[in-house]
Amino acid sequence: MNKLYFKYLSLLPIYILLQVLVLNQVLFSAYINPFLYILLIISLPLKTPKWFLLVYAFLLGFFIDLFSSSLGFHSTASVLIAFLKPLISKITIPYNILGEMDKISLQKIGAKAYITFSLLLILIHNSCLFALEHCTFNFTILSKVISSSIITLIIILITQLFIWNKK
Amino acid sequence: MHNLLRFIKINQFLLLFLVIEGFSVFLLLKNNSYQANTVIKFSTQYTGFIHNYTAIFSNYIALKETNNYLINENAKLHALLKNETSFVDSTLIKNKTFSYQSAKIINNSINKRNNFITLNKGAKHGIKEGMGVVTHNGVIGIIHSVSENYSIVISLLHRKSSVGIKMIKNNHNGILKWEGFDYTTANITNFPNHLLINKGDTIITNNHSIVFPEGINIGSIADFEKDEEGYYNVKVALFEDFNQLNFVYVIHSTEAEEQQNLEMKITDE
Repeated sequence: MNKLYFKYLSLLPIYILLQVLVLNQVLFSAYINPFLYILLIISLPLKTPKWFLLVYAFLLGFFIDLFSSSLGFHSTASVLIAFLKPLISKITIPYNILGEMDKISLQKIGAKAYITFSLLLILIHNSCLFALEHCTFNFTILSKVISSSIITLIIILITQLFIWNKK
Repeated sequence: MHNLLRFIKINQFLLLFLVIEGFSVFLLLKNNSYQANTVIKFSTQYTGFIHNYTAIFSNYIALKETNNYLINENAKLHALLKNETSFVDSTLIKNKTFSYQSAKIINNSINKRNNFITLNKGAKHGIKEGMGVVTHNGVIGIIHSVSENYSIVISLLHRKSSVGIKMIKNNHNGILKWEGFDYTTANITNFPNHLLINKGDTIITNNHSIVFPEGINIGSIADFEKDEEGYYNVKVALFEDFNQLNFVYVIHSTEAEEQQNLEMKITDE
């Protein structure tokens, strides 16, 4: 278990820097911002202690917020998906397919389950984030959520393939 | 106690989530004024509704005081009418015109560091953010946010409020701020100490402000002492009793925007 904490905490700065220094500068068609850092929350093993899941998600969001100099947005959204993750994994990931400490990845649970699982989390995260940012929810924001989620999903899938090929 | 502990143990995930999420939302509202404003605007619609009903009660009880207040104000207006000079001197023409609108206070506080007042008029009645709020014997504050039927005023009793003032006696300008604790006094800290001031000197608003008209009474000097940096630290006893506010006027300068736009040109350069 300690190995898990150490591994994920050391991944934290890498993903944060990648997010704020590279991805936040890349805006597809002016306003779509992919959020790769969600991948860390998605890939945490099923049996991660729940307190670690929440605290980890908060730290992740908090640091992303610090760099975009607007506190609260990303931490609220990522704590929300961390809270919903056990529930969603029960619905979408087939039973007994994963070892207790295996991290959730594309090659372990198959493309179909992985895409539904991560797309659900990404959609919830993005809707929460944009709804907070604009303080309303209407069609423009919905289209922003959907386009941003799709780009985020594609980038997460590419990252997964990349890690898989390296092994 | 045992049951409570068991409850916490069973629901620890949910409780921890609520704590962390609550903290995130706290950070969000604390640091992002747009989001905080939206929440306040939304909640004012409902709290204002409740305050409105309680105000109907207190209104009835306060009828006697209200009458007295109006009689005093009438008397003052009569006096003003008599004093109106019949000749027009170009140096005396006031350079700004203000329109007045009455409103009733439905919620008020005086005991906090930052006090707010709720009024029973809002966007529907033409009230906008940034308008001034006064009574006949004092400056009350500035409109902070407006909903359909209600509006919230940043009271003079607020950390961030400051009013441009001058002494009647020698027209010296200064800035009035509230330093907390006592709702009957406010402070002026930028009077240089070569000025001759006395206890009892009257303080009124000056003509620099685009929010308040010139010459609204504010208070009289209650106490003063020299500090080491060459300024007076002046205590002003406010004429208005913030604890008994009932009716106020929302004022709007019809030329404020013009003046503001003109002055913006300086800061742009």
